[in-house]
Amino acid sequence: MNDGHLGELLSAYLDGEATRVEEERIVLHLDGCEHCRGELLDLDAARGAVRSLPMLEPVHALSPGAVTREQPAIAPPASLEEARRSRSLARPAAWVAAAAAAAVLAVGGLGVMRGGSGGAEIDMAEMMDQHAVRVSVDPGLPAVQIVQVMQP
Amino acid sequence: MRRLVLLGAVAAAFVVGGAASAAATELEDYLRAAEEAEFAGRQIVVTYWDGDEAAAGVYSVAQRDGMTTVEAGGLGLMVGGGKMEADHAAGGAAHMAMTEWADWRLSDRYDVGASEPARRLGRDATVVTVLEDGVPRLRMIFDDETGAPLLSEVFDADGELYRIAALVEFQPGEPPMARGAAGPLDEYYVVPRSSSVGLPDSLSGYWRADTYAGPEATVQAFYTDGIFSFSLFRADTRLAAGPFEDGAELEAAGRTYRRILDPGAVRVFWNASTGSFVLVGDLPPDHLQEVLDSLPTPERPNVLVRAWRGLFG
Repeated sequence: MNDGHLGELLSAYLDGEATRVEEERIVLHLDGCEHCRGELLDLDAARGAVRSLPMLEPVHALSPGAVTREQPAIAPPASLEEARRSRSLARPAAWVAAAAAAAVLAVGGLGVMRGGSGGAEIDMAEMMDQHAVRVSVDPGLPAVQIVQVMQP
Repeated sequence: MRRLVLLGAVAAAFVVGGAASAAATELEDYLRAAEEAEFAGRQIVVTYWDGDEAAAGVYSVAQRDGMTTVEAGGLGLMVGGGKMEADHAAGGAAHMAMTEWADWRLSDRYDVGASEPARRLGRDATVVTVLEDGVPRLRMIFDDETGAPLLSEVFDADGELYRIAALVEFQPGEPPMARGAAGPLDEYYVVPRSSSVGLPDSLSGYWRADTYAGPEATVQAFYTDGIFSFSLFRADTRLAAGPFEDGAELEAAGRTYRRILDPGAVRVFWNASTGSFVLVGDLPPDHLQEVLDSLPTPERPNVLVRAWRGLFG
């Protein structure tokens, strides 16, 4: 547990990989911790979202009956060596699909990693200008107060 | 007898209240005089954060005819009478004005200590201290001859120095103003008031004095307690972090904000479920914490963010 919360144990719990002792501890903790209950909901929702990602279409037909008129039928390998070659050609396709899925997740993570990316741009200069004007009309120490809005 | 006791209590309340009012009036007199002082000089401003971070700047300042100019790094800013001209780092200058604002007043959480004589930069001066719950929060030294603010110190809740602004060079008298006088009002963008707020009337001892239309469909709510102040810009839509991308993280109640520390102010940004917020002001850290606690909290980072951070820190 990190900082009194369940942390990675939640993931194990959802995967059904927690031991019985851990499960009991987790359930007991969830009963009294709103933070971890929220984390559990988020984790479950994310898993659901990942599962709902569209499947990438296979490069080649997987079953003999699914060959289309446009695609040539895949002949059985004439030799073991040919079979090994065809498997090594097929692996990059699966690898590409997995990498693409990981890239989607990574981009999605990058997109929100900084907790604010996406959305209208902040016009910081104008915000600070407006703050300076309003600050300046109150009695105070203008040479000090307006320093706070000097453009860095 | 009971009536006499009651009358005595009422009279005492007037005396105490009167004393507090007199102190606020005295403070206001010093602050108004500081605004009208004519001088030029160089000022150092340093803000410390949590003992291990600081932002500092050195500025050329000049003040006359109710206008104050501050210059540093080739950029300058001039304010006075509700008008402002400011150079922007990206180029160009803004001309902005406000024509309506609420009257100033001092929060009753502050006490103003008795003024004391002092010497500063070889000149006769007066020290004025503002206390909150008996702890000094602001200490100012004013030049007796001109009323100019020679030194200003802000303290955090523990009495530790949070910000210092000190004139290190001081020339009393009418200075030349490189930017000239302010122009007529029609040369300025007049910031309109806004009736749309969605923000509380008060936040942890600060009251909402004014509300204006801000840039990019935001609303600017100006909060003050008479000593410190901040503007809170609120947008109904999500804002990109922009300049806050590289800002420090500010953790509060398990949520994360983005913070930028400037020599004279702190800026904070966050996206909440009810809108996006940018706060800019000179309030000390403990006040800032209380204000943030009273506002909608940042969105919880989703599981992708947590996974990313778990992998890469």
